[in-house]
Amino acid sequence: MDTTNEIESNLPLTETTYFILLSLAPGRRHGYAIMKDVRQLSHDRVVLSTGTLYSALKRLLDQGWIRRAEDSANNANSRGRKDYGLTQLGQSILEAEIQRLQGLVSVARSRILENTA
Amino acid sequence: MDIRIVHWLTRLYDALLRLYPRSFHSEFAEEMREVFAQAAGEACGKSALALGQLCLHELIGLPASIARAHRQARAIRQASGGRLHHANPLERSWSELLLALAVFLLPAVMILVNRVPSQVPAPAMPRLESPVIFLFLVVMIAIGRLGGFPLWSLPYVGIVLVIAGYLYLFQWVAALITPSLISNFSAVPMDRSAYLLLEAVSTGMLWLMLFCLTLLVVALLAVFNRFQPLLKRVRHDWTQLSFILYGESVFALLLLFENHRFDASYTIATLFFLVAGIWFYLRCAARWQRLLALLGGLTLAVGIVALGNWPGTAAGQWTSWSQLRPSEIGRLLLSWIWMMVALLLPGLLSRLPSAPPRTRSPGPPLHPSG
Repeated sequence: MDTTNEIESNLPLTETTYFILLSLAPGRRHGYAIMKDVRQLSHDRVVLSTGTLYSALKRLLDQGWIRRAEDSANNANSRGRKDYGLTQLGQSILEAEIQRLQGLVSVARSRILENTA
Repeated sequence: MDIRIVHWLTRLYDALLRLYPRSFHSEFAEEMREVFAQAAGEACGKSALALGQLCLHELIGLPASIARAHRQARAIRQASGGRLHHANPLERSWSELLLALAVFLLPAVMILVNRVPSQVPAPAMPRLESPVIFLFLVVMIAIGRLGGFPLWSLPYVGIVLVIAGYLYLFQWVAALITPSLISNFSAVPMDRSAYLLLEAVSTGMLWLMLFCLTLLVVALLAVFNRFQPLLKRVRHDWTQLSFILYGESVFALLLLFENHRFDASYTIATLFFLVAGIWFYLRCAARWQRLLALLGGLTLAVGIVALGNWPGTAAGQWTSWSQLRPSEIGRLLLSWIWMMVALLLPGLLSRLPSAPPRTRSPGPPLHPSG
């Protein structure tokens, strides 16, 4: 399966996956930061439990959408803490999902404008 | 709020994380514990309500996440050709060990609970052991079936087989051949040797039938693709067949020593030694060690039952060997010997020469010359 097909076959993303990928889009984050960021991005609508977050992270790691790296600021307070970042495939999937959502929104907007005009 | 609560909750959460599959636990548990501790610390700084909400949220999310992780782990195991056994038994998860041990631990705990004097009048408190144990068996078999009968579930399979085997198959076979046995034995006065011979035949018949039934069920299960890994595992490690038979022993012990002279403490001790056998079976790496664990556990369990059945035990008056009826010693030894034979039979089967590999017959030439 080539990359384009792989991306398309995985769309649409679940809300949890979408927000996790979106949270990692600016750069690497550790688990707790992802959890807080997802909550903030979704305006408190998606509140991940630790179990749900790590189940999702494992799946994304297995699919090769994210990669893991040891925390660069590894110290006594962050023992065992690891950062997660998007892979090229993960980045492409997120972009494709955003494009898809933009397409949906633009269609909806144009239809609503037609009706109101 | 007291920060000690956070430490306590984190330790509790850490214990719950052991319910995840071993691979998931070793990969993520440390991180998850740290994330939980951070979140709990932050919530603790806000209010008790925030901490309560966080714990509730985590508790609600955990079962689904654990189930998902087990499903993924099972899919990976099945994809890798059903290699469901661990190369290193020490890597076995605690949940797997507990599930396996619970097969004999639960009855022991229920007996202990029943011994505690209750404030509730007897008629108001119905005896719940049988329904609870039956429900427990059904649930465990259902979970085991979903996982393609992993190692921990094999003693449960054994218990179901022995119930079905004894209640239906053995009774049916016994009804067929007992008339001829009785006619043979009733012709002569029933002396000690005749009694022991009859005992040897009936006990042996029971155990050989259980062995054949176990073999048959494993082979029949392999007809379904879902359970092919079970047959592969048994062919790879024949002690797993002995492990199923070991599960059958608990019911057989109760059947063979139907006098029930021994009190609850002897039953608990018997179950304890059976549990010890399972524990060592799951922790040993070599086949001979695993088999030895089963043989040892069962021998000690039979020993306890014998002690409980010893004349005079109940009254606290011990009978010496010389005063014991030889028929009782013989009956005890026969039962033990047949149990050992049944556990060792899978090992003998594995020594049989296997079928030669199929060779493809030379077909017609693909491209006829000319």
